[in-house]
Amino acid sequence: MSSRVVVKLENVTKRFGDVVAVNNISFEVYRGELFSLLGPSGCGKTTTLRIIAGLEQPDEGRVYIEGVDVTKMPARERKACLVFQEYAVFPHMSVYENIAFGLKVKKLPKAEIDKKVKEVAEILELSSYLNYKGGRLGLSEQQRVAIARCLVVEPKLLLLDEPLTLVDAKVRERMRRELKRIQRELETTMIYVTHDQLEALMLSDRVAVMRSGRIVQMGTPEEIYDNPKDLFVATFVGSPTMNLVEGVLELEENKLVLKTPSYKYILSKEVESNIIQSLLGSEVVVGFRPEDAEVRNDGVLEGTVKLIEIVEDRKILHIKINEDEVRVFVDLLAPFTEGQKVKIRINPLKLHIFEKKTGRKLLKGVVSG
Amino acid sequence: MLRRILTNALMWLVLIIAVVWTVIPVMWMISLSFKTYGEWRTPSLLPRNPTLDNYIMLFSPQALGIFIAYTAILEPIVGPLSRTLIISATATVIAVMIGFFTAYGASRYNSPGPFTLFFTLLTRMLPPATFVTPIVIYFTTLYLIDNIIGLILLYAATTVTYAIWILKGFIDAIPVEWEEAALLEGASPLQVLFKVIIPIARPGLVVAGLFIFLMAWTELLFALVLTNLNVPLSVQVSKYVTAVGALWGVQAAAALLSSIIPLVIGYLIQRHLITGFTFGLVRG
Repeated sequence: MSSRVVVKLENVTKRFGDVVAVNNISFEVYRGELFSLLGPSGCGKTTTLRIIAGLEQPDEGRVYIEGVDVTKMPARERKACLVFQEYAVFPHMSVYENIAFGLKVKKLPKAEIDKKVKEVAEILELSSYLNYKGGRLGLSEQQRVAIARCLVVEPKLLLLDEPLTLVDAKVRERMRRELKRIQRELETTMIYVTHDQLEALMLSDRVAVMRSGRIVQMGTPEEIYDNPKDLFVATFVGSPTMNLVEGVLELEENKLVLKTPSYKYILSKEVESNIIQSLLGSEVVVGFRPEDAEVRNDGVLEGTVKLIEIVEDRKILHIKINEDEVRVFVDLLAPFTEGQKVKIRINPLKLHIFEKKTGRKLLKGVVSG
Repeated sequence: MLRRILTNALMWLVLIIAVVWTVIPVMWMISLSFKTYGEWRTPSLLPRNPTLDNYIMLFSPQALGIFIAYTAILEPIVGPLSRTLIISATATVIAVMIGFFTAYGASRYNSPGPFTLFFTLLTRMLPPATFVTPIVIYFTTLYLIDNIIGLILLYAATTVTYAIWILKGFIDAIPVEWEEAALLEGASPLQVLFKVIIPIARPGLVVAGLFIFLMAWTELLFALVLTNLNVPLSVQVSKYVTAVGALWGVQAAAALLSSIIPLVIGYLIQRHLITGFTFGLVRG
């Protein structure tokens, strides 16, 4: 095992009664990396994290930290610290005592504890809070204290279980940046659990998307976003979600056509023919992201603007095309009105075709005819 | 408007009745304790010739040289008082300690299981008088009759149920994340218990402790049956009124003394009591 690997999970399975919370998952996390486990609630991401921390015992499989098999090692000896979503700060201790806790239980000399606590407090901008009681802090300070408490014991691995979910949106954004800065500065290896796809994409070096106890796709945020492996990842990642249109693939006048109950979309014959041959007649879902379509006069699809939303610096047009509704990004100042007829053109390189029955990705990118 | 006045009036009426109901007997007791022998049976609330004789009688019955007929019961109050202090304090510590560990186990490990924990309530489901005969027989064979150790064990055993159920509520409300966080930062299970759980559960320990202390302090039935010469305070208070005659004033003084101590303790731990009683509500 290369020394680059800090954590390695090997075929880990965990059951709670009849429920398989974690189903035979394996992955590696490298030194200094920020690795995210992303998925909807109940997908097993927190359980996975707790297995790494040693708070849960896997039913099958092995866990390694820095090459050592820690599967049976008690949590307190693993040097993996976990920041919880809530209740991370001891309410009966001051911020100083909270941060010092992990050092005090190791019976370190007072002067050394003091030095380390102040250092970490500095990094997390908690210096002015040191005398506050834990129970009196706001949520964002509490989470900072929790992170400080973990950092001060210099763990091999920092685990974070949705640490920012309960923090206000404004503060959350700032703390995300802070977290990333700290991670880069201290080169801490972090495993970050979240259900917030935006957070995972913003923070992580690599993301593992989980569903029903399994890892569906693992890769860099760019890969996950740009090349989702299946319908689940495609719709889970990205906001607003990918536009989806169901239909059947057919050949019409030598052109590949997506036939939906209400309209046809012409796909190119330039697609590798052997792939096309195998897809003909099968029911598929075609997807494209709102930013991969444009409203233009030479667009092939015509529809009516049903609703206009403003999202930060852009507008989203909800366009009804026959029976389907798709979302397309336009400029904030673009002069559209509800009820207006528009034509859109989808970037053919960014079309995703999924098998309807399994959700499996069939191919990405065709050139429109 | 009229409605509000009526509601207010009604509320005040209820409060006044409640206050009269609870305060008048206490005032009567205070007044009686300062009255002279001749005044014991008069209905005035203020003593005409206030005296400390009843209190002197409590502490040194021979000092006044009267009531020779009652010599048998006239042990100085210091004896029963210190016995009750020792009994109540020790029983409280034992019950709260056992209760805490039981509650912790039940709360965190679901062991010995909900049904078994429910079993502990069974001891409270029969009137205590039912247990008197078997307890007397057991205690006789164990040489625990007229022995304060007997009462300590009995009180600890009968109140531990309360400690378990009060503390279980408190421990259930402590998020397990605090323990896990401490563990992950390298604390041993014992350190987790003493540095995290016990300090956080302290209001609960105080509430349970006070509750049990008061029960042990005021228990009369078993104390009456199981003691003879080494009587606790509750029995001593009852002894001033006998078949031979009644020392009403002395009894009032003894009763007052007996109620002041729990009051003082309650006052001293007031701060914890308030957090204790509101713990579950405020956190929400």
